[in-house]
Amino acid sequence: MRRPLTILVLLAVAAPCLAQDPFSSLEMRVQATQNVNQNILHDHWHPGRGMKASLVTPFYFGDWGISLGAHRFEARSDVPGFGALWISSDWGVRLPLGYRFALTPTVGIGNYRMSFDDAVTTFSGESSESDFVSSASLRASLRIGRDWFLFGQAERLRVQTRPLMQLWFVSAGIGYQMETGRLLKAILE
Amino acid sequence: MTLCLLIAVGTTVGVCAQVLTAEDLTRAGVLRLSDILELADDWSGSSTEGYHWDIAPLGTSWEASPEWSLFIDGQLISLRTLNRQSLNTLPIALSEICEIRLNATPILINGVLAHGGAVQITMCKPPNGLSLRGQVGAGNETGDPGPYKYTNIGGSNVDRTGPTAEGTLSVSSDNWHYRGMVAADEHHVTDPRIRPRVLQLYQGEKDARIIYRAFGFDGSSSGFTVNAATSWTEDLLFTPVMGREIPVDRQTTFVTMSSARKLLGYSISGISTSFTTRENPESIITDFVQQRAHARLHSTRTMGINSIEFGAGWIFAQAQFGHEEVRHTLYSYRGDATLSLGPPDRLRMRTMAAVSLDDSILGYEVFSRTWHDRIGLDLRVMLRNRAPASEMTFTDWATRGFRPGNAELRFMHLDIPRRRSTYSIDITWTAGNHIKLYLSGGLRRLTNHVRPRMHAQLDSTRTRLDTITDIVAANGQIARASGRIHMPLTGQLTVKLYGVYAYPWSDSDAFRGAWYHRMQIGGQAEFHPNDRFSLNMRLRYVGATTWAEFEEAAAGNPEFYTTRLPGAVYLHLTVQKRFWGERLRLSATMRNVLDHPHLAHPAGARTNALFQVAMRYAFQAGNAGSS
Repeated sequence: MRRPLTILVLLAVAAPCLAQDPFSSLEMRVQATQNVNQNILHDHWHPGRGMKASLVTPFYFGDWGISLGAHRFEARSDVPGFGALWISSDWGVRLPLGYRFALTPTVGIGNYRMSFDDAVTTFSGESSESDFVSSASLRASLRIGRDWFLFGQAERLRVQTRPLMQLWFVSAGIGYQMETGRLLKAILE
Repeated sequence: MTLCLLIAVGTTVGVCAQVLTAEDLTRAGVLRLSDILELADDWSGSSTEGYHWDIAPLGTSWEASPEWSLFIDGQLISLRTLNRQSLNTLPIALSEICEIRLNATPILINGVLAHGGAVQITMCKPPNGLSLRGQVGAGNETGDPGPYKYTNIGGSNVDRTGPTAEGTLSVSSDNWHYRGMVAADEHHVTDPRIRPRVLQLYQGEKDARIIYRAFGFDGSSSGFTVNAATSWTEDLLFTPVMGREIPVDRQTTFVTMSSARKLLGYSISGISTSFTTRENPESIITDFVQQRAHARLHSTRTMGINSIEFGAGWIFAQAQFGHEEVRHTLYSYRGDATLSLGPPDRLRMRTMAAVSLDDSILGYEVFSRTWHDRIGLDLRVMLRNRAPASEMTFTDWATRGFRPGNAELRFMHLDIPRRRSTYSIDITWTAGNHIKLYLSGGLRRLTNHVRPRMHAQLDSTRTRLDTITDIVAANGQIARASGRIHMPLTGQLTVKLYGVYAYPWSDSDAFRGAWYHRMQIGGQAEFHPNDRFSLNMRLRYVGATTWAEFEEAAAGNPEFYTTRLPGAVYLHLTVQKRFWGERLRLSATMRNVLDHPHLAHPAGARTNALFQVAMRYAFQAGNAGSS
């Protein structure tokens, strides 16, 4: 718990120095994700590949965005496999390192929904589960044109189940940045 | 009601009502409308599944047949279906509510006498310009196993609240506005203490979830207002009448229109509430549709500082029970006159008299209120005899000879139909400037009333509780006293203490037995050092009388009823942080979760060391100007 708090404090301290024109641009990202850590969850499930899509815009301080991620966990033992859909609201600070390269630490909170394959349960109401999720990540991005960029990301998810689900993801993807028009900016504001 | 002496600290208190502002609701972490019960000093409630709450002003109404009325922007909206009136079925966007007034004593609103108290909701006018607003929330009891429930290291599922989401899109100027609303909510009835009861009926049928969807529209222009909304709820409903859950589809729809012109104004409303049974293994069928249309013309004459308002109303009510399409239709006509006398800061009086023709039976209502703002005294007297059926409760329909589905109803020694009469007197006194003291007392006499009296017994193979409902005549009196004190200790810290006690007396066991909740004491502390952070803590104890059926149930299944309490203790803590003005609010709420394994009664409840944590994200976007 201390580490996310530390990250949050560091971001909050850094954010005022990076005030910008809010909602002036919109960044769209897609990325392939892979769960890489091993813990008690992985005794029962094997992680599959996943995808994640995000929309990010400059906020009053830092960047704010929403993300939608999906990945699968295949059953290793006598348990149902499940697909996870993860929606999150993220906030981060972009730290430019030169013209093309930037690092962005983020924190986020959201909902982690698990849809179980079937039938092991006798109660259809248990075919899905939703739990609160918090996340912290570090993203490195490399601009490859005026609007396009590549990026890699390391991200830690903490799903509030008992026992806790703690997942580390690495991912890589591509993003596109565009100016928000007057109408879109007015709505966002 | 300009006479209300408002105190701008925490939950606001007035002479006439407890006022909850939008800020109060937000600081308290209210995610659903029923959560206002936790803020209500004079109201108590119970729930069987943690979603629908049967609420009532303590000492003024039976929970089994709620008599309180709901008003939205001054228009009477009835949510009644069978014996319940659940706020969570109301199609409304919580984030658009400007103010809620909780009246525990009779009150006159736009010519309608809410004799059993009232919940008054006032919606906010949208900010000028184009605006998109809303909120998303979700809550969990701690200890949810997630995927581990399929392993030997996870327990049972305990998730419970949400996700709940709502959004409104509005366009507005100084003189007009139009607003559309969508809302959705989910309630997971997978709590281990509720699940065994539900599982019997829903295995393989549907998710054990209550799913709520709603949309609505409202607008105003030059004194004319219109509001239309509808909600659908896929429900897992425990009906006290049936004594078990039945899967139902519930729909609530209302349309209101009004014009507030003094010379000749009008209000028109139409409300429909319905239950439709879903297919279930028990083959229980209960269909119930209740429709009500109300139209009222009113005209106000001003004579200096005094005024008189005349009103003429027409009510059409129709109920349909069962798939045999048995209908009962009622027409009621009502004429009323309200006289308002006295200048501000002097003794003032408002008196209303109404005569009605209800199903060919003549009835009358008289309500008088006298108050003095400076002294802080408020006196109310009410007489109702053969009262008009402005709202029909389940017992009203039942005494007219109708019964829902295959429920077993027994009419005990009744000369049907019975027409109820109510007489009440209430007096309140408010004193103090910095520290506010509020004292209230009242007496109600009920004559020729009836109440559904449920005989409960354990049926452990199914729902653990089975009931037969007797419709019993009940006459008696209730005395009620309440006190409340507000103490702003510092500019940032406010403490409130309150207590309510109700005492029924009557020769009738049915009458005395109806008052489960007799005492309620509580405290609230609110700390908000700035407008960006607040800490809200509430502790409440609800005392109760002995409930004989619980003793029997506990003897038959001691494991299920592990802890018996003479009452229930509610603990609620909300921490909220605002970011970037009004754009983003995060709040975390912890509350203990009460166990209501059957028809809820505090004496049958047990507390669990479980806490609900809810997050709320509020958003607002648009080219809004001032509101």
